[in-house]
Amino acid sequence: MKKADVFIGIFLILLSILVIVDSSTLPATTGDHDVGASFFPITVSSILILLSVITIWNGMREKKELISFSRKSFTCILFTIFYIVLVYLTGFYISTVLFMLVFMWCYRYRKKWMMMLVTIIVTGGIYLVFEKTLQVPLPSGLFFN
Amino acid sequence: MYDLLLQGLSNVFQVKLLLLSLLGVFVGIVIGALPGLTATMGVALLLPITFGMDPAAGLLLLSGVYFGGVYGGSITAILLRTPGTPAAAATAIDGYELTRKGMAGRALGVATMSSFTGGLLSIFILMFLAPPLAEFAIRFSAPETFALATFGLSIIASISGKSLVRGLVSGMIGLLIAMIGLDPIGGFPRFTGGFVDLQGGISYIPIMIGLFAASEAFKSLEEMNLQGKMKTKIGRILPTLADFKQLLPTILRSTGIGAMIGIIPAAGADIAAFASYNEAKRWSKNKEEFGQGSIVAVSACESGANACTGGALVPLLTLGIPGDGVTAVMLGALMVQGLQPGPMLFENNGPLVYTLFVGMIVCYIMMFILGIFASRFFARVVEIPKEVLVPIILVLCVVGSYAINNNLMDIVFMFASGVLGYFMQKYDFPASPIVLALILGPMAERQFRTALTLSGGSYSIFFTRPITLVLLILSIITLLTPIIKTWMENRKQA
Repeated sequence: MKKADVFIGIFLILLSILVIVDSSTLPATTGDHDVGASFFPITVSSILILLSVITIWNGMREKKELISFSRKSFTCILFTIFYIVLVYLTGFYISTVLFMLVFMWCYRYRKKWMMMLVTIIVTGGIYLVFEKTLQVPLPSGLFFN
Repeated sequence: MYDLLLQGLSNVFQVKLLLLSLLGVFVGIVIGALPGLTATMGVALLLPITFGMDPAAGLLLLSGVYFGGVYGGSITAILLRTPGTPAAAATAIDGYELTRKGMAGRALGVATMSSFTGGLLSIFILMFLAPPLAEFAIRFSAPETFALATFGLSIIASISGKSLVRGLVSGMIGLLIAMIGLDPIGGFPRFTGGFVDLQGGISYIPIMIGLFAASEAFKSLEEMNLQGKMKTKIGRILPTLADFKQLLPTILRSTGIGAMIGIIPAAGADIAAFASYNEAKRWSKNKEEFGQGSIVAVSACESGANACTGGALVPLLTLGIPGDGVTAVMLGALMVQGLQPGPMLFENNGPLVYTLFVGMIVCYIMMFILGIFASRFFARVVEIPKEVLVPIILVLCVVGSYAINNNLMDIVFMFASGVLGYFMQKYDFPASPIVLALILGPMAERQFRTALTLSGGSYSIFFTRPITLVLLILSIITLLTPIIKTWMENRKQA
């Protein structure tokens, strides 16, 4: 049995029920022959329930499949979370420089000159394009506001 | 039309536009050549940059990335047997065989020439097909537009990935996400959980960037860096006239196939490449050559794939419905520029559209020149290690998603979509239906409810109007076809 499929199916069914319940509080019609704001959500959720049942059914019939997750990818995701939080706190430029250098170092890249060059080019390039040319301000961070 | 064409011609030859087109094509080829980076990702990453630009410049930049991206995959496919883009997967087979026989240069030249010809011809098809189609589409009213949106949704669900069920699940999830916010007709907040921020709905550009770029970045760390350093000598790349003559029938046929597949909403370059390959093999007198290093095979794949680009732009510009993943992203670019794609685009912005047409032709010419003279350079691009590339992509994702509305929450949405996209890929759920559902969903709902208001609540409006009926029947056929195919296959095996 493909456990993942079954769990995903169950999760989607619960989600759909949640949507249907939440939609029932919406006005059914604005008069004027309109089906109302609840029509589409309920229809889509109902279809999704049907599809989830099929997915669960298929998941039970199929044999187990090995899905490999890579530690590299998960670390990357964690890094990104830190990066985003850092952008919020310290603004774009500091966090980007830190993120890039630490990331490359962590993944065993050791050519120091290249690391610095790439970081400078990317950060500088973004500054030029976004702040100078397009006049889009980038986050300056909680600490500096 | 011809005076508009001339106007477009004069508009295009400004330094800024030409430079941006060149830049776009260059970046596109690089991104296309790098395995793990797709043309869709390239366009999604560069999209935020186009906001501050004027429409022609921004759209030509993105078109350049698109065209270069589709073509670029062939370079690494041929030299290293690793397709840079899914569309180049078919090229990798015969292309690499040619490299092994010492004919890498010839393969690259054939690929460049075929991509160029296929793409160029598809732009001409776009130019001649779009205006009459736009005129036809003006007659579309709410029921027709609803049926069209439904058709687009049905295609994307059945085409992406192996399973129709999974494609539909993704589509439904996308539709639900699209419904967060104010409902399109009555303006009642839905699923906002009381957050005022969510009332505007979730901006779909950060989601696109997350799904197409960030998730790919996460995933690409899993594959090892390309070990194959390019040791082969390349030699002359520019194809001979004899080669061109020999390949012309193949190129023309593949262009037709590719353009048609591009015009069908949601069907993209990878399908076009494989379909062209199959047809070329069917029509070939030397079928055994295919797979052993046949330049006919390479030519078919590449012209088919690039012909898809012009085709995919047809429904985008005339109907506002994306022809494939990349054009879905470009739809975002158009809307942010305040341009409403669809029949009115030709009415209200005629000069712009023709500037684009001419500009796209120029893009393809530049692509050809870059390809012939710089393939060696592009091939070396794969030597960039993943651990340098991935942080760059992620930084661009963060910047890009923030820059749209200066909203930090958009970065969070982008990241969430990236993680979602990564897991969806792992569990075999296709991601493209979500993006198309985000675009087509609200359209479908608004038009459906408007149609019912117009008809006084009667559902017959969907059956009595011919265009609507045809499109709805096509949608049903599209959804049923995979089911019937599987059923028939099971019967054969039984």
